[in-house]
Amino acid sequence: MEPAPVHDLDLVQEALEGNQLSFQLLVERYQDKLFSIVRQYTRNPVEIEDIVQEALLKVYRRLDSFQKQSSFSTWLYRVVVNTALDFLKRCGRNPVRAVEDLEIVPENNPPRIAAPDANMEQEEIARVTHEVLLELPEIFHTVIVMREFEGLAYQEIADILGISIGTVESRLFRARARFKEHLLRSHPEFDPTV
Amino acid sequence: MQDSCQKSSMLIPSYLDGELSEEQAAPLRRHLMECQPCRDLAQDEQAMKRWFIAEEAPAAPPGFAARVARRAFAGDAGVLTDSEFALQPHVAGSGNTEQEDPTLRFVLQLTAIAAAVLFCLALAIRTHDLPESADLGASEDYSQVVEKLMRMNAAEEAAADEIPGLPRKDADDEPMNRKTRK
Ligand SMILES: [Zn+2]
Repeated sequence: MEPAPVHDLDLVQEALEGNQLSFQLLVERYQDKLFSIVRQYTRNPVEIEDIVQEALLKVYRRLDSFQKQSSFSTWLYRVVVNTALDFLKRCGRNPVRAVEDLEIVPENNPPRIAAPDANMEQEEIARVTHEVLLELPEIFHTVIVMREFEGLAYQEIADILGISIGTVESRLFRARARFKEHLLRSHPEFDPTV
Repeated sequence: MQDSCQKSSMLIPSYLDGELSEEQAAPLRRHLMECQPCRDLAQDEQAMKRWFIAEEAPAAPPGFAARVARRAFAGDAGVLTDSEFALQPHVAGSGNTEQEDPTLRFVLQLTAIAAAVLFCLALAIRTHDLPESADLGASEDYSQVVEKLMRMNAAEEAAADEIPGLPRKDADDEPMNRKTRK
């Protein structure tokens, strides 16, 4: 018979009491998810591993400050996304954009964009998308990753980012508009209106 | 654009994300049945989603969790400088901060910057990512790199260690007016 799964919070508590194996189990539980999230910020496997590891070391150092009103995974995702963004900034990639940039929003009429060509390889699509995402301001990049790649519900995104559902919604709206704009700029052939 | 079209265009993305209550989705579906432009819009949104394909996620290498746990318990703090600790302009509430020697602060900042530069360089070298290491090394002299990092730090101090773009006062972040959620 399968033993009942141990709750995250129990593992956290055991890790705090000095049980290294409990922390290892927590890592095992989430590591694939974390690799997959960080993958949306860099496609370099060495960097992905370094970032996930950094985030986990940070999580361990702050384990005692973890506020148990949020779920462990929510907190973990938040730290991982922050670590990935920190990394990009420190290496001079995806710098913080000026506020004006965020305010120029095609509020009513986002551009239209065609689906990728049927003959495009999956890998090629992913590469183009990744490049476009890296051009977006980080707040937009992050909501797209969470929604489109991780398939998180608005409520989950709101919890991780500490914002309201309405803000998630409006940010996603703007993020997608911005995504289309940037994609069209680098690949005008996907403008369906021409 | 008609009023109902305006309204449905705002709802379509959430509808496609499966985030509308049935109460909100039913009238939208009715509208889509009879409105070609809104149907086109919905189709466009679907087309865009095809750009977000889930690639096979890279798996964590064998032994990763054990290694991380070992390092964590050995007190390894990692190599990335931690903005929360290293880059705070003031240490909140601690009394002697104001009298802090400005030279000391400068040295501390330089140390943080140097660590960040080293980390980026180390990664660039490790991954043989030549164009990037060239970016940091050859095309800019040291003072430019430092200046760039200073600017980044300043921007980051503003953002603290929160998830980026959170409760900053972007005009961008006005929640949409939606009365009811499921
Ligand atoms: Zn309509």
